[in-house]
Amino acid sequence: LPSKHAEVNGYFRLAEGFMAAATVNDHSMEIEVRRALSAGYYALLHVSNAWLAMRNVPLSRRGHHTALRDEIMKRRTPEAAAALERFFLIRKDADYRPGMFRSKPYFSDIVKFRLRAMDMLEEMRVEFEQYASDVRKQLAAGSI
Amino acid sequence: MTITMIEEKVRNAIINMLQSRKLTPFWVSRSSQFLDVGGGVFVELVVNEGSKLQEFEEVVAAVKAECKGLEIESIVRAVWVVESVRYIGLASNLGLASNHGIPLSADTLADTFEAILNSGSRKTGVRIDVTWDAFERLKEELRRESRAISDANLVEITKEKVNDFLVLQLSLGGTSYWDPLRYRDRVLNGPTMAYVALHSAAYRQLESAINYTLDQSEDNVLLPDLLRTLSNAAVSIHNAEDALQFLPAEAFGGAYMGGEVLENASGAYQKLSRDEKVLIKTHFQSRVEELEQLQPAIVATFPKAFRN
Repeated sequence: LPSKHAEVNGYFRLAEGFMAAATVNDHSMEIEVRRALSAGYYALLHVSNAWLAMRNVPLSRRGHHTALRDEIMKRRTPEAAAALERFFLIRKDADYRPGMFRSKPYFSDIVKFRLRAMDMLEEMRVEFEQYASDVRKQLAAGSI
Repeated sequence: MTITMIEEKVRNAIINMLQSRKLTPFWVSRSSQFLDVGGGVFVELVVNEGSKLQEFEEVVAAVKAECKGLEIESIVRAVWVVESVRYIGLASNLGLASNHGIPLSADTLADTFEAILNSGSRKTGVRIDVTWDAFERLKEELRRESRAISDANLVEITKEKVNDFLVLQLSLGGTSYWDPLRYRDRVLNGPTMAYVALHSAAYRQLESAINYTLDQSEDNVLLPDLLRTLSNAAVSIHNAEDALQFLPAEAFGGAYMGGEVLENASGAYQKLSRDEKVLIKTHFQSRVEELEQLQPAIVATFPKAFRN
């Protein structure tokens, strides 16, 4: 089994990598926007997983999207869990629903899709930082 | 539209609980959704009173607990409208640069505006940083329209654009909605300003109403409404200018339009410039052509509405 430090560090490294990849620019096309939204959610999933691992929550209670959200609801706030659920649904739309772009609310308007995606990624970063600041502090202090 | 048993079960459980807790007056039923997503149900509850959000969330949590074993994915959101926008001044943190550790530039320096949004009796303030790059884009647009630019009118015009930007943000539903209670800070940058300034708010509202009404999703009730009305009035959908006046009022309110200011197609159409009128008719016609190509069954059901 990996040490707690190695596990937290491993998930956190993944989280930061996904967050760095979650970008949309003025020229991004539909698939690039979808990929960024998906990466943004996974960044959030991994950082919250690292945060829970740091608090000794067993993998069985954080190894699945739903179980992890339940733990976040108990250990942070219902609002934080609701935000995770919303970003999970965005990621599902981005990965699996062809109509996400062609139908409501974007109706194939790529500029609108990009602009709203940039804001949604910023919202994901706001959530991300709430976990990441704790994890960074603990890793830097060597207290894990 | 086929309603599956699990959709029905979740819908009934939620409606019963809303009734027992006297929450139905605050529920925007026509903008809410219950969708079978293959073994689970996606629920979107839209609320017209922000102070009741938590009670709606509690209803969804209770139904999730009651329907154990059934995966229910949910979004509970309020409809917000823009009440006011005011100019604050140079962004206190010198714009966005200090947040991201990047060099100061027109992309990152900003001026701050504050807006008050309301959802029924609940109000919330949001901060909008308008980057200097966005001001430059706006000035370009004003010069293109040969409009005078002074410091005073630039602030006033920017307030209008901030309002339009917020209306656009608040108009998106489903998973794309913006929760201004949790995410209070927005940035209006150059590319966004270019998009917002390109058309008037009235144009955006009419464009959005057309898109929602002519949407080909199975659960779109606005489309048969429009086609029935056109048939009864003996107006062809190919006569764009006349047909536009029959867009359903529902497409101009509630979750379709976050910061609604116009109530119907006629009001919105009258506010368009001459160029925008041409553009909106072209947009309508292209959506109708798409409908004819992809949905022959609908055309066959409403032959009068589609006659040339």
